[in-house]
Order: sequence, then structure tokens, then C-alpha cells
Amino acid sequence: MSDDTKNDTIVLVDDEEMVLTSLSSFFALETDYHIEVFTRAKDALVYIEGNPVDLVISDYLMPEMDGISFLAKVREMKPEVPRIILTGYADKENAIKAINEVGLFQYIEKPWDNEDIRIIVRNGLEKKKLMQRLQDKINEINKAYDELQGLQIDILKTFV
Amino acid sequence: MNKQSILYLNNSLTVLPEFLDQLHEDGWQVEISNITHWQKSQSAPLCDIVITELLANDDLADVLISEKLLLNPEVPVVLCLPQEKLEFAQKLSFGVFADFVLSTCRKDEVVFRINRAIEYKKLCFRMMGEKEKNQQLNTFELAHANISLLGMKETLEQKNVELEDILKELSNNRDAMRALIDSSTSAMILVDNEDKILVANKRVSEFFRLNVTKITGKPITEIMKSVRTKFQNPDLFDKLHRKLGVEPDKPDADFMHELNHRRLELNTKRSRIVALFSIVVFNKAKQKIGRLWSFADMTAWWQNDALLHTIVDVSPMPFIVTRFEDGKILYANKPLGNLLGFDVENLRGIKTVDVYENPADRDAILKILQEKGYVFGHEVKIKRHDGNPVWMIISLATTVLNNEKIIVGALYDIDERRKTEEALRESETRFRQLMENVDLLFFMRDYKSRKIIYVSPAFSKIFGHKFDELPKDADLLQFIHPEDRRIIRQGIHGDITSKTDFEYRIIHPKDGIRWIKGTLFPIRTPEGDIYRICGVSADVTERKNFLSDLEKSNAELRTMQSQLVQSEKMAALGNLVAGIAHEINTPVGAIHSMHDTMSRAILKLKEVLETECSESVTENKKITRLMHVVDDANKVIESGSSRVTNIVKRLKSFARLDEAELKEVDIHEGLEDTLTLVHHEIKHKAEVVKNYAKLPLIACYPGRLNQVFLNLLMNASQAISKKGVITITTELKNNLVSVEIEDTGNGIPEKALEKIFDPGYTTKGVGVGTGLGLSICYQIMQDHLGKIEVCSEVGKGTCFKVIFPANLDSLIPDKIK
Repeated sequence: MSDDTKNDTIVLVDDEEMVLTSLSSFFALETDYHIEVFTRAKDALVYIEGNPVDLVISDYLMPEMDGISFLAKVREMKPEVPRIILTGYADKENAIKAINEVGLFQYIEKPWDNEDIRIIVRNGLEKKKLMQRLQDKINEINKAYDELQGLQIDILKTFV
Repeated sequence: MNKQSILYLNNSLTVLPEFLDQLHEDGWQVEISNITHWQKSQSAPLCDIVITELLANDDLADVLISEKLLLNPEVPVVLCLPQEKLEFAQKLSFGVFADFVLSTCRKDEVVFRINRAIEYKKLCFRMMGEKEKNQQLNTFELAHANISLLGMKETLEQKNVELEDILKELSNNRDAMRALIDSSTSAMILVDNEDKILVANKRVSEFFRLNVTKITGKPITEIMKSVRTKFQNPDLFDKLHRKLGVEPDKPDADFMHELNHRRLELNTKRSRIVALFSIVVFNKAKQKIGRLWSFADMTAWWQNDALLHTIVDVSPMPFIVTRFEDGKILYANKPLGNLLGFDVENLRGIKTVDVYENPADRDAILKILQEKGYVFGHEVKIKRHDGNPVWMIISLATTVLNNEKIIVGALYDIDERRKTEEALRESETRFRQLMENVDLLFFMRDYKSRKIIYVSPAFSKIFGHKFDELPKDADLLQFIHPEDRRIIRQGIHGDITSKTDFEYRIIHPKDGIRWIKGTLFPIRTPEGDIYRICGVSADVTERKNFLSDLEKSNAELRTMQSQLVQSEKMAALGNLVAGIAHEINTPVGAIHSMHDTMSRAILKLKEVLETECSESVTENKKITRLMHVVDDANKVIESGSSRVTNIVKRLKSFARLDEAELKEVDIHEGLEDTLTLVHHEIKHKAEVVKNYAKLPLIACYPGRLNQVFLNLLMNASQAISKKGVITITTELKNNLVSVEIEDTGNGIPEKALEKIFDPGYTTKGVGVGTGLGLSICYQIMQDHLGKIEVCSEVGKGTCFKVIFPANLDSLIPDKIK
């Protein structure tokens, strides 16, 4: 419940309304995350494209589009967003394969533990932020570097 | 040279030559005498040399001198001639005198000549002496020869006497010869070179009624004119007579043939058949001295011949008469002609060489004939006229007919027999080839005597002993496995009335025990009586082994198949479980999550209530009661959802779709998973007692091991009819993991105990069990390099114990893992 969680937007996708409800209730109760829920992956993708998103949690088995394909698309759109899959399927092998393919942040088995999820989500967000900061720093450094280069040119010009 | 005494004979016509004085002066003793006087004195000259002049009458000089001088031949004579008489002297000196000198000669010349004459004379005398000696010797020899001649004369006289004897005898022989000629059955007429009759024998008169003595000396042509009329066919006689008279007579090879041609019939009182021959007679110097005409009486021969012909012609058996020398057929009968495909007439003159299919046969036969004189029962191939060979049996004998060596033979057509024989032999060869190349043993024995008639060579292959090398009275039973001898005894010695099959074992000297499959069948006579027993045996060890292998692998296959079915089932179950788990987990997850959220919400609600409400919440009874209900609800929801969660988790764990390979797991967890699954089955029947030892993670095939536990637990539960105890004991000992599942059920009867691991064996009845459970457990434990043990007592219970090595991962190669 740190200040960092403020305004963080989490997208939840599951074809089961009850999963969405229970998770969003929990997050609503315990966190300040902004939760967006979708029963259809397509709708979620539309939202993610048009809005800032910090984390995506998706069910594995869904009609129309399964979790793996969905998360793969999310990665295409916003690679920096941590992706978590939630599955009730017992086939761990496939799940691991999926993780490797799509590059998931975490894999959560149903039935899940709320507290586990909260920690995983927090870690994911943190990671995202750290990455963002890292990127910012890199950008700063790049900028400074560019400036330095400009300076160097100026200095050179002056001297020459 | 010594000075010799010289007598000089002077003819007083001439003057003495000068050299005389000179010789005298030199010391020669010279006496001069008148030649005429000297000759009259008749005395021998007593000097070493005479030098004489010629007489006035020159011609007689040599004679005169020689007569006188010859009285003393040792004295040499030298002529003294005047110059003009030189030519004459030269002529003369070569006759009598040794030398001459001319009256005008000088002393030296004369001395040389004198000496030469003396020397010559001496030489002459020496040679004369030797000649005399030789003459004496010759005389001696002559005397000797004379004596010999006398002896020879005597011998000659004796020989003469002998010759006279021989002549006498010869004249006797001549009579004998005469008698001989007369006694001949042939009429003979000998003529000289002028064709005049020299001699004719008595038969001539007998045959032709001619006076033998009268015809002697008459020309033969005249006689023949009379003779020809006596023949039935005088023209034929003329022809023959002419032919024989012209032809230089030679020994005719084709005697029989000629004989036929020379046949003439005499038309006299007693009918005769004669053959005319003519032979030129030569003396020792091979000069022709005449010709002999002979009329041989062939009557008897022809009669015999006719008889022979009749016999042979009548015989249904082929007969042949050939000449030994050249193999020409002299006579053959009709059956022979038929046999060879010839007309009988055409057969004559054919050489038998052409008749043999294989000319070597003839040579062989001739050789035997020459050695023994007969050949009996010789089988040979004869070439027919059309070229086809025919098998014949021939018997031949040599004999002499009319001075010729002939072969008489009888033939017998055995072609059919031979063909049958060949066919038989061929079929026998085929049979034999078959028998000898097949691994089947054939044998045949006599039904009554039980004597073995035939055993095929496969005997040695099958029994490892050569049948021929076995002792005759060997008991074949010795090769048979003792337990199977009874069957064989019946086979070898017993009565077989119909086809009988049996299997038995033999003891092969190398290969040990071999399985043999045999068939015995009786062979019956056309009347239906058994007279032979035949048998066929084959080594079926390979097949038998193969069959048992097949059975074994079949059973294995069945187990594998059932295992496959089972694992397929398990896979299906796994998939189902996975699907169901997802379906269940979603709502359960939602419930679980929502319940947690709700609990948190209620907690917060309580806080809110406490801070917001003036009254203490705890004091508000209504709220407290409601809160109790909420707490109870929370507890129930929690335990319920966690149980569902647990069941799903166990189910997933049991199915272990992801754990088909060797993996290190907690055995107890597997047992727990399984127990959860069979909970519904067990909970009402049995109490589960767990004697778990402390076990590390064990490498195993978890899914399959769970299946073993499931099967054993289900069996244990089913074995308990009402209430009982199932005890699960785990142990790790000597690096072996053991899991024991013991029940207090009905137990398994001892008889069934050995079959419980057989696939398809069940006691549960159709529909309840597949009968595959335990066999699958057995197989799974084999895969774990372990075993499954069972002990059971009816009424008390059963205990199954699975044992497998704890270090399975190091025992099983990676590939299989």
C-alpha cells in the first residue's frame, strides 16, 4: 500500500466474471491500483493500445484468444509491461513453454493465494518502474552524452 | 769285296776282252776256257762266277748255257757281249741271265756287275731255300687232306645207303598220299601246266563215272566236257569253271558266301551237292607246276545246314550266326530281322559292328569270347534299323563252321524290362536323393519280423550316430530320453494299425536333449494286411523352442498391451484431470480468493464499526451474533475450499502427466495422493494405518508407482468385506525401498496365489476387475528393477510388498530413463 502503487493501472483478463470480480475486489480492498477488467482479450488489447498500462494479468484458457497469444500481443505493443498468467490447467510443461515463449513475469496457478498475487503484482510493478528508471537514466546519460559531444564540438571549434 | 775265281768261257771267235787282264792284275783268279770244250766236259764249273761269251749260233746260246750251267745253279753267270750284240743281250738277260757286260767294258764296271750277279745269285738261293721248305709243308698237308677225303668217301657211301632207304620210303609215302587223296570225300583232279591230267582220285570216277587211269595224261578241257553234262545245270558249272580257271586262286575270305555260289548239284544216280574249288599248285621255288580241281561233296553239310536253318527258322527267339573274323552276319532268322527292323535277306552281309549301339560293347564281348569261348546273358544295347536302340540280352558262343571261326548267338528282347528297370532305378534315385537331402528321418521296418529295412541318412543328423556304424543288435531306445522310452517302445515294437503321431525327446551326443516329432503308419498289402511300418521323424526342438518363445513373448505382449491400455487410460485420466482441474480451479480459485478478500473486508468492517460506532461492537449482541455467523461461515468456506483445492491438487499430482520419466520424488506424497483418490472407497471400510519411515527423495517413475499403490490399495479395500485395517509400511533398508500394503481382508487361496500375477487372472468376476491390475503392477516393478511379493492367508488377510532399489537412477541407462 505504498505510494508507488498510486495510479498504477492493472489490466485483468479472464473469461470468468467471478475471477475478475474476486481479484478486482481484493485489489480494490487492499491496494490503490487502478484495475481494468475484461472478459474478452480483444477488448483488453484495444484498451492497452490506447491507455497507459503498468501490468497485465491474464487467464490461460479462454475462448477466442488464449492467454499466451494475448500476452504475446501485449508484449508486441508494450514490451515494458510485466505480464502474469493465471492458470487452472495442470499441464505445467506447457505453461513453462509458454513462459519461455512469451517472456512472462510470473506464472500463477489457480487456485491462487491473494497475498501471493499481491506480492507478485507489486514486484512486477516495481520491476517495471525500475526498468523505467533505468531507461530514464540511460536517456539522461545519452542526453548528457549528446550534450557533452556538442560541447566537445564547440570546444574543438573554439580551439580550432 | 773278295777276289773271286772267274771262269771265262770264250767262243774263240772273238778276242779276249781287256778287263780280264786287268782283273787278273787286281788279284782275281781268272781261268779261261773255250766254251765249246767246256760244254763237252760236262763237268760243273768250279768257280765263283762264270763270264761267258755267246756261241756263234746266237739262238741257242741261252739253252746251251743254261743246260750246262744249271748243273751248278749256285754259280752266277754273266754274259760278255760285244757292243753290237747289246740289243740281243738285253732281251736275253731278262730270260735266264742275271746280268751282262760288254766286252769293251772297263774293269770297274765288270767288277760291279760280277758282284751284283754273285749277290743276286745268293739272294736267289736263299729264296729258293724258303720255297723248298714251303713245298715240303704243302706236301704234308696234302697227305693229310687225302686221309680226310678217304673218310668222307666212307660217309658218303653210308649216306647213299640211307638215301636209298629214304627213296624207298618216299615211294611208300607216295602210295600213302595216293591213298589219302583217294580217301578224300572230294573228287580231285591235278593237271600240269599244259592242263594235262597228272592224277585223279577215285572219287572222280565215283562222281562222274570216269575211268581214272584212262583219263590220266589227257587234257582237262576234254574231261570237263564230259563232267559238265553230269550236273543238273551245266551252264552254271561252265560259268563257275571258267571263273575259277581264270582267277588266280587265293584263299577267299568270304568262304561261306562263296560256298553258296559254288554250290552245284550232281545229277547222277545218287544226287550230290558239290562245291567246285580250284587251286594253283606251286613248287618250292614258287613256280607254278599245275592246278588242282576239287569237287567237294557238300551234301552232308547242306543237309546239316538245312537242319540248322530249320531249327533256327522255327525258333521264335532271334538267332544269329556271324563270322568271328569280320563280324559279318552269315545267317539270321526272321525274329532277329523283326527285332532289328530288317528283312532277313538284307541282314546277311551286315557287319555286327553296325548293330551295336555302342561299338565298345562289341569289343568287350569279343574279348570275353576270345578268352572263354562263350558269353552268356550279356545285356547290351542294339541299334535297330530305324536307329532306335533296344536292350537285348545276348548269349554267344564261338564254334568252327567250315574251317571258319563263327559266333552263334541267341538274343532276347529285354527292352521293356530294361526300361522298367531304368524307370525303377530313376525313381529309386529320385527317392534316394530326396531321402538323403531332407532333414526328415524315414525308416521302414518289417511288420512281422520287426527288422529294420530302411533308415534314411537323416538318422545321423537327428540322432548324432551313423546308423550303419551302430552294432546290428543295438537298442535304439538308448538314444531316447528315459521318460519317453515308453512311447517309443510302442513305436518301435508295438503294433501300429493306423497313423500315429507322437513326440519324444532324444539324447543327442552333442546337442543334448532334442525334441523329435514322429509319425508311424502301416503299409498294407492290396489285401489289406499290414506288412510294413513306416515312420517319419523330424527334429522339432527349434520349433518347440520357438513356440514356447512365442508363447512367452505373446504373454509379454499381452501384458504390454494391457499396460499400454492402462497407461492410455492413465493418460486419458490425466488429460481429463487437467481439464477438470482447470474447470474446478477457476471457481475454487475465485471462491478462495473472494473468501480471503471477504475475510479481510470483514476485518476492516469490524475496525470501521469499532471506530465509527459509538457502541462497542463487542457489546452489541446483534453484531456479535452476526459476527459469529460470519466467522463460522468463513471457517466452513475455508476448509471446504481448501479441501477441494487439495483434492484437485492430489488428482493432478497422481496423474502426473509431466512425470512419466525417472524422477526423484517423495514416495509418501505419492501414497498420500493415491489415498486421497481412493478415499471414497476406503473410508467406510478400513482404517488406514501409516507406518512411514523417514525416506529421502527416491528416484522412480512416480506416475507408474502411484498406479501400483492405487491397484494395491484398491485390492486391499476390496478384500475387506466389512471393516478392517489397511496398514501401509515404508522402509529403506540395504539401499532397497519397500512399501508394504497389508490388509485384514479375506486372503487369497494358495492355488490362486501363483496365478495372481498372470495377465487376465481375476477372482472378482466379470465386470468387477480386468484381471490385469496385478500383472501390470508386476511389470511396473520389473521396470523399477524391483519385485512384488505377496503373502496371504485365507481369512486373515494379504500383504503385498513392493521392493525396488533406491538408486534406480544410477542403475538405469539414460536412454531408457
